Amino acid sequence: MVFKTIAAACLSLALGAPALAQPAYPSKPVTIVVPFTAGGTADIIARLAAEHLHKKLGQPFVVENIGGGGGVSGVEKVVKSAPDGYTLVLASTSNLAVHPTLYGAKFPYQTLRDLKPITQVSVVPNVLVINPSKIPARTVPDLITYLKANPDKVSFGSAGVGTTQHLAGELFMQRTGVKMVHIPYRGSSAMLPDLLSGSVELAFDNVPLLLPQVKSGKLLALAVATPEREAFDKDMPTVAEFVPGFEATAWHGFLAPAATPDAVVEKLSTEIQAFMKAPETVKKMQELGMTPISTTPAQFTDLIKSMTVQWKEVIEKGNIKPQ
Amino acid sequence: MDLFSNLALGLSTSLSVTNLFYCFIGALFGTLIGVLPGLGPVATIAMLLPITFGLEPVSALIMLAGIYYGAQYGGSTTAILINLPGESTSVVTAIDGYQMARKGRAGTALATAALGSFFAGTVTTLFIALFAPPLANLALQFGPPEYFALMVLGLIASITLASGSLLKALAMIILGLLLGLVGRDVYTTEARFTFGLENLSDGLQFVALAMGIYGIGEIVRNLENPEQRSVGVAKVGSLMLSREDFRRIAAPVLRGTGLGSLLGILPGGGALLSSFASYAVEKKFAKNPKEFGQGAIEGVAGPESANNAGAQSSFIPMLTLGIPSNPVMALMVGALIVHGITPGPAFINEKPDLFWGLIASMWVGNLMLVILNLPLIGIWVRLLTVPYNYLFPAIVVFSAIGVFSVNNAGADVLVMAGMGVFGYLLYKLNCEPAPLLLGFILGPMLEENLRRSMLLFRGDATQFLTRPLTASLLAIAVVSLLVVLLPGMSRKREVVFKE
Amino acid sequence: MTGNSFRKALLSQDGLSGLMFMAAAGGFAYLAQDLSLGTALRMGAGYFPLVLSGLLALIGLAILLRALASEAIAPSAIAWRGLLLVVASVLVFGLGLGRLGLGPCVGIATILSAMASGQVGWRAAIALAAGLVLFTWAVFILGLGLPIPMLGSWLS
Repeated sequence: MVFKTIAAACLSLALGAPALAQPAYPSKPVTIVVPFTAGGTADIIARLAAEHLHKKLGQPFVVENIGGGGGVSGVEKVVKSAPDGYTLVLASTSNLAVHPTLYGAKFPYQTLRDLKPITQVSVVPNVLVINPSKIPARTVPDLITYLKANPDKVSFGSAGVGTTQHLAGELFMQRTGVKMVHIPYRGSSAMLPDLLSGSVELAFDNVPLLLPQVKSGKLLALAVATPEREAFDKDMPTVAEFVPGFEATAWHGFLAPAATPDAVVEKLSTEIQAFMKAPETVKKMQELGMTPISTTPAQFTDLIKSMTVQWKEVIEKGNIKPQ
Repeated sequence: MDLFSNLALGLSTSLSVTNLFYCFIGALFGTLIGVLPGLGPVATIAMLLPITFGLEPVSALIMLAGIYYGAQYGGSTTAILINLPGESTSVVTAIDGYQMARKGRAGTALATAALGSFFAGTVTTLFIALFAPPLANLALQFGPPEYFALMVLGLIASITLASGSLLKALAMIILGLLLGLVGRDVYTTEARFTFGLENLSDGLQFVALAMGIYGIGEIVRNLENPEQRSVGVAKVGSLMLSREDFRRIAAPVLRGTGLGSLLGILPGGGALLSSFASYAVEKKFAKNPKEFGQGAIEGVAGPESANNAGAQSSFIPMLTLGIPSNPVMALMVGALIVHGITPGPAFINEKPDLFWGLIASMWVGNLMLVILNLPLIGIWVRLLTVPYNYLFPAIVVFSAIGVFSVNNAGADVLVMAGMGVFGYLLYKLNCEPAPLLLGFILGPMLEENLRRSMLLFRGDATQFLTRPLTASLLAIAVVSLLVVLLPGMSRKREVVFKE
Repeated sequence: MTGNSFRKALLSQDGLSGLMFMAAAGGFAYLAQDLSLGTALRMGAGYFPLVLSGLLALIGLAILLRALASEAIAPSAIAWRGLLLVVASVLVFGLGLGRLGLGPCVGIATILSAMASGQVGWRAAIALAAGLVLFTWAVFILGLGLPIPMLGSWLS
């Protein structure tokens, strides 16, 4: 008996469960592509969400890490896959609002033409930090005065060309009219030692990386680059309080190929939003140094649009283009 | 004494039955997966990482430490047995380890690696416990100019990896440097030598390159000549070291441990250099340098100890400064953060039980590895008695899957195929591949730090000579170059007579 | 030097190595043409590759000249059968893992490379293939849960 049941189950699995009526989504395992190697923050969000979706929707959600090309390869794979809701991507600001502009005409995808936003899940605030032994300023206005008096003397480090960390610095220079020399690194953690030792004096970077250094007094955080003050330190001003409209954060969100049915996108959006609001998720995300967010597909679309415009302007004005 | 109470605290955390169990499981799985060709430590840890998410923080860390050492040792095992280095540091082990295996001394080579690693691990654990905080500041003395000078020194040392023609070794290093530049340029985002392929924009995968040049190249070469196919298989030989072996490895292990534990502190690729540096040093110290490349036990003992010491001391910048110095450490930081711990300057004081627990578990992980692997050596070596005609298709299959799994990209496997042809060509032309691989690894760092230094100097190159540390490193590099070149010139290199 | 011995020296291990390095240098330099050169302060993407290509070409030339002046050792014959079959079985994975899936790829690749030695019979090759399919399935899909399909998109 038992064997018969198992055999029948295996058979139906093997044949892709040809049910009588069109089964409700999802009827088979769903792949979530994370365009980075395992272990990073995006990967962790994806795995947490996958576990929740598996429980709620009854099908396994499998996380697939496709690193390479700063995330381009992974996103490209999703763009090219069947728009049936069985392939999703968890992508970041650079993938969605920077790369298509930065890498120009031959780039393999255009975000809103090729992908349908499901929901934003996180904001990773960038903080403006300085090495206090190298720069005498202690507030943002002081810093601007100092930089104006010493053009091109200060170097700012970033996680690489086209990351929000880099663009934040460019935006800061463009809005305040100061001049600094940009020094790109391969990722934030490669930059950190040089920031601590003072080889580079200033950086915008993610809270989780910098907070321990700020606590120990080795770095000084002047302001946060989000529109509002952040929960991790309500006393820390925003850059926008001194440089109106300044916003330079990283965020993550789920998307599906552009032709995915709206019903599927809505269903996923509702489930993921509910998950992002759960107290446990909020706690976990805050531990990871991120602010959990849940938005509708329309709101997420607007965010991608407005950020694409902002970064396009910065890239063009700063002449940050591959020659 | 402080040190002992701290270590006692750590040991009491890590030596509970549950934690020992997790450590054992970690080391076992790490070894078993790491021993599959193509799956190096980074891939192994990334795959097994999610398992640890559900555990208590201490248990998770201990299990990770077990996985890490296990995977690393697994990589050395394939390097020795079938000439497949699973990660950059085992490239050096493959040179003499594989030759030892071909001479029927695979067991001895594996035991040497295990014992050398254990010794290095034990010493470095104590070293970290004693000096971690002050050493962390040493790491910060190294800025881009110093790294540039260090890389130059490393490249010069790598000339000694070759036992044949000096000019060819130089050319191979430069070719390696050029291959290392494939991908998107960090400074201008221009795609270099990618032929418009997005898959190549992160550069060539090290694993694909190494598996192709070493693995596939070696297989085709073995197929040439049926009689030679059973080399290394003929006699498995003794598994343990003779008294003579112990005498020969003592000094290399000590020097390797010293080099590794110091270089490992540097977050910008120091640990990578340690095994190469150790090989270069041993070759210079050896009574009979000609044996190097032909199965010198010193060429396994030194680099393996340096490798493990470096792996261990690369925890120092992570634990004390929060700087992950390599992809493995970045994964470790990820795992710590999942458990609500952010490593940084305050870590030691805020969570002493975890800090010392982790340090103690490094040692427990090393111990576990020796206990686990000394018996396993018998099994690994027996694998070599499988007729080669049946063994190599399995190696091909595993390498291809392993290379694919790193990024889930078929393109990487195609690179491996191309590099296989290239590796065979190099063999035909009698060009040794090890310097090429070192050039490949160091190339991007050399260029990045040179360009970064020039930006930081605002174009004034004389500052390379006015910074004391940079200037002395460059001076050492020049002297080493002379030391390497001069005897070579005068002796007229008896390369020609090498078969 | 007679034409014959010149040719022999050119086609020796060292002569060909020199030519290979020079060809590689030329290839990299050619591709680096399109890259920005920059200045010493802001080195472009092409600066370092061009310098290296130049060095490589010089060393390649030196190796070639030395080869012409010394005794020639011809490279041994190429084992075409082994080379082609082993590389083909790697290509099966590179091109087919997504479309054919793990099972067929392992099967085909195993049989191809088992044929490379010319000393394994059909039956043994098929048995080895079956064994490896089972083993890789158990390790990579069942054990490690790698996101590789057992049967790829062409077959399911």
